Amino acid sequence: MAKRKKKTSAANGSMTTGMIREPAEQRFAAELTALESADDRAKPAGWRLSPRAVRTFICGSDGESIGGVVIPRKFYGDDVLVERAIVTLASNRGLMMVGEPGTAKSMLSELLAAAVSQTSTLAIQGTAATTEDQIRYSWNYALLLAEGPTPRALVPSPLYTGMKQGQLVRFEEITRCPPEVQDTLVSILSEKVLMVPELEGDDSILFAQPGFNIIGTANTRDRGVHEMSTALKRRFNFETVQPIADPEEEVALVQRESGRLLDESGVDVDVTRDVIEVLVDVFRDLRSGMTSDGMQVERASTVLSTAEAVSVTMSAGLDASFYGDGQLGAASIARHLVGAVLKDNADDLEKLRHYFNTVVKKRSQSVKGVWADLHRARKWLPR
Amino acid sequence: MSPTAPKAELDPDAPPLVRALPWDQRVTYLPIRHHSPACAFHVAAVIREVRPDHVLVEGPRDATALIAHLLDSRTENPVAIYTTYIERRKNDAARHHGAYYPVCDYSPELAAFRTGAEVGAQLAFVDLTYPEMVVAEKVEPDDGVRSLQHERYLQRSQRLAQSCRRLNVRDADDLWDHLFEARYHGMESRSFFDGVLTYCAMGRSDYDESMIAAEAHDVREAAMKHAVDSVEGKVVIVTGGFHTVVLPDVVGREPRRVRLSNDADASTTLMRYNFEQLDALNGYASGMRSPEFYQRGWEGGSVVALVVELARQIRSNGGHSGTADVIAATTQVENLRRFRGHQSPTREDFIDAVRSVFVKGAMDVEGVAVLAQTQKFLTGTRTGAVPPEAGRPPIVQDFEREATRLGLRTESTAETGEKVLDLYRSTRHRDISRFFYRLRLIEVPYGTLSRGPDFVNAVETERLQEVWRYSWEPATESALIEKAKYGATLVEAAAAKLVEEFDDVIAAGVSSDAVRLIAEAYRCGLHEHGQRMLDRAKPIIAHDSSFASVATSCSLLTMLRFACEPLEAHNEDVVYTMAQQAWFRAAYLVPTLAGVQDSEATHLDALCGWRQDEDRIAADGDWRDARVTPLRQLLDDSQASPVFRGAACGLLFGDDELSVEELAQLVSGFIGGSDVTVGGRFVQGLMRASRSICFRAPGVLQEINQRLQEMSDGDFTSVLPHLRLAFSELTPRETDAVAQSVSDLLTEGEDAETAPSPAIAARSLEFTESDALLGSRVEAAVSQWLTRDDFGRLFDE
Repeated sequence: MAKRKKKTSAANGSMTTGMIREPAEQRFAAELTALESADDRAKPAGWRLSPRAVRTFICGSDGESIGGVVIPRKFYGDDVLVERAIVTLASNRGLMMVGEPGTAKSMLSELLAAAVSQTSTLAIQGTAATTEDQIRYSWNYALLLAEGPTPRALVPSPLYTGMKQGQLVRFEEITRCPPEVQDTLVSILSEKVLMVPELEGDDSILFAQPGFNIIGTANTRDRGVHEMSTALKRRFNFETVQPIADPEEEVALVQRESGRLLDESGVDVDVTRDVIEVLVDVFRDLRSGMTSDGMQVERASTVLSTAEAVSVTMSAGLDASFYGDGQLGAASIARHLVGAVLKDNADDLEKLRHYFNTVVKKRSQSVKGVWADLHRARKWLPR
Repeated sequence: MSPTAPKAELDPDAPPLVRALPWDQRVTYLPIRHHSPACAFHVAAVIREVRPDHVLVEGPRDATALIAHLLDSRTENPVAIYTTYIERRKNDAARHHGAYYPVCDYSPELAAFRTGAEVGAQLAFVDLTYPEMVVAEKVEPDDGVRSLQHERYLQRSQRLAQSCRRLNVRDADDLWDHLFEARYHGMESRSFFDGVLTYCAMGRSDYDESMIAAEAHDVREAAMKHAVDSVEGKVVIVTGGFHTVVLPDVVGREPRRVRLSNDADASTTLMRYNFEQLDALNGYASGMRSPEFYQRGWEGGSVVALVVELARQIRSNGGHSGTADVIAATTQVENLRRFRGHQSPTREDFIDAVRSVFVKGAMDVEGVAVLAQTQKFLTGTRTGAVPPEAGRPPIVQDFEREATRLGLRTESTAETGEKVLDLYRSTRHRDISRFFYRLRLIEVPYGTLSRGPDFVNAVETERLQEVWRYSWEPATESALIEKAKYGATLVEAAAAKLVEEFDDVIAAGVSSDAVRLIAEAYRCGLHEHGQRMLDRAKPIIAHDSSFASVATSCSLLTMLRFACEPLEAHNEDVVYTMAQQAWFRAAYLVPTLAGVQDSEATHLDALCGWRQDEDRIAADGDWRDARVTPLRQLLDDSQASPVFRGAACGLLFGDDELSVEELAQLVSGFIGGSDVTVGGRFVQGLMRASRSICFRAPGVLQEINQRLQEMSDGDFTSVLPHLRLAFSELTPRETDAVAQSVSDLLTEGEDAETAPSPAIAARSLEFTESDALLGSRVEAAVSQWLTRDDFGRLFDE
């Protein structure tokens, strides 16, 4: 790869909108418009696009031009999962996406919401401190005191808005909420009705409009999460998003994403493919517990997602640029690898060291190149 | 669908892959996929319409006689035509071949015969006989049994893979369901078969002439065409679509007959079969997946009924699947069907709905059990039945054939036969041994091993010969018939039994048990299965958390690698890499010995065995790093049993990781500790791991000696048993040498002040034969007096 030209972070379009990150419906506005105008299939009530067009938006048009626009692939993974997810959204059950962190669950939910409802911003971020009010509705207390409970004093939650307007609502990290708060959703999902007992007449009951549904995401391997009640589980269809299956694709994705991030932070660093390949290999080995040549290794207890690989590359790149010669090498990778692997389980360090003593050592002799550099860089592993 | 499939595009302007089928002529060619309900439906429709004089079907010619049995009302499907061939060549051992031709209710072949019989046509199979096929195709024998209906070409095809990509389906099977099974009812038969032909032509397009010839398709096609040419009147010929692509243009040629030296060398029989065998996913590679799913469809069952039944099964196994879930799953099937444009839901539509609705949680955690259950449910358990006239079970025939070949008696006799087998030098003897072991594995009473090496349990592996006693009894045959369900040959039955046990072991996750069964596979000569089992054992080894189990696996694998002749597993590279893998896994687990409380001896043996294995398998360099760190950790772990710490110490000393001084200090520290038994047990581990310490590090003996002298009598008595056990590792000669050096130590320091205790002094005196005699005489006299004075009673108590 040629040496990068010095760039400033202004190079990207994001500056023009004044946002660090645009929501999907704005970023892909042109594609969505094109898909919508070319879409002649039946649409479920309240949907902007037909199920097939939603699929094309997410999985790409395979080079075909639709309404003058070629739709690129946005989600790398199991396409059949996307189909099932779309079909679920058109049914009367919610969609729950589970899987390890960093497998693009949130991205997928954002894309689905943007394609189906034109907005991906109706989102509730689940935390340990999420309350029932944040899920249902709350009050503007000044108005409440002045006027009593009126529709004007009611502060709608994203869920309230989604029901009212017939749009998809995203509930991120649902398992981080306490179970009793999660269970607020049970009646909403089964009855599709939200009671507002404080108001009178028609306002006291909110019927969900067609097009409304909930996309939840939940981590399965993280700590500090709650169980979901069986009652709530029953109202969702579950889909498991897996890490990217194809190593080539993962390498390409890591290289593209980390390159973009490094560009945006205006850092001049040379990220070569072979370094990324080695990093992705290490991640895949420790993630799956098996090397590409079939040798079994210890699985790390930490989540080693593609997103984590991007972040290691990013910090190793910054490291190489600020403290090194601007060439992203194995030493920088080794230094930042520890931070990624060693999160909260000291055993993982042992596993990493074992991995270096066996796999990396072997490859440093058989494959040489970056692997040999990496093996030399084992001194950066903490003792 | 894989997004990495080659991006080459289908060219819309390219000439058609295949010429349209000629209709309305003397010969009607019908392309099919085996076990396709859609094909069965349309084959029947066409035959009723054409009313041919002859219905010819791809299948071994010599099975034509069995068609009557296939159509017999007492026959219940699935059944299979089982055909065998023993190939004899000059200067070469006979080679055994076997193949199945399964038939189920919705087989197009059966539909062809049924409707053919209905319209009064002559029915015949027209493909090569199995021996002819073996000769033409130069089949290599293996211990698996082939399917005569394999459709490998579909999985290989690049063109089909491209179509899958374009149509967003998973694979060639899914594509087939999408195009044909999901909509066949509404299709016109001719356009249906044109479509099938195109599909198969895409599969065939990746084959060049040499591949066709290598698999002898050309010879088979010429033979089938010859059969068409040799009959008069209207003909319908039903063949795999792969062949129909070219069949109209092929020049017929009579197949070259294979001369058999013995009629029994080839057989074709009809036998019962079951859906588990039929399911391609179970590794039998005989056609369509999930036979139960298609069977239900064929019988006109609705998907709702399937969903309900599956939900009940899941519920009865403790899963959650209420009526609401059944409704949701049915809706999901329906919506997926519509989304994908299917007239009736396909197998994948069904499974996708299960994935969406019945899996409450992560696919790889909660989903595993549900999907396994679904898989099993869709496979089904139907077992066929054949009328009694159809003949004896092939496994009995196989037993007799094999026994006769190996020169063993198959009749009841008064006396028991004996076979002394030279495992290392005679291939024939090895075959006999394997034959006996297979029978033993499937619990058929025939041979008993009276002595010989036991490679599976690592007992007396140095023996070169096996001695078997055997006799045939009526129970032998009845046991064999019982085992016929496991397969048509002993090899197959043994393999099936072994795999069944292996599945349980895999589920339990104990690697040493898994590897033991692998060794059993090799001992029974089931090498192909051994390989597959090795692959499956890999993750078990990787996740087994018991050091002893992993280290035992390592030893067994090492044994497999090096016990060349009797087991013949040494050529499997994977054995070698797995032994290494197990070794490293064990290395990782060494520190966990700290938590081991019981069965110390087993673990100690495992630890020492593990170290020895390294010398045999670490061909590619020094594994010192991987070995030393965990041993250090074990040695330093104060929670660990002193036996293990001693062993770690011994092994580290053997690696020069500890100097003689450090070692002496450790020994001294342990023996001189407050609890003397700890010291005794430490020495016990130390000696087990490295008995050469006595000679390489004389300082150690000195330390022990020193501490012993300082000990109180009480302490000495409690440590003595441990020390005796520790030094029992030594050979007599070594014991002598140790005694000598201890004696030297004592005499060296001997002066007025530090005179040794009388007992030790006595031991160091000259002791002659006459002293011994005197001693025994004294003992005899004393015991005589004791008895006389009635003291004996006291001691007896």
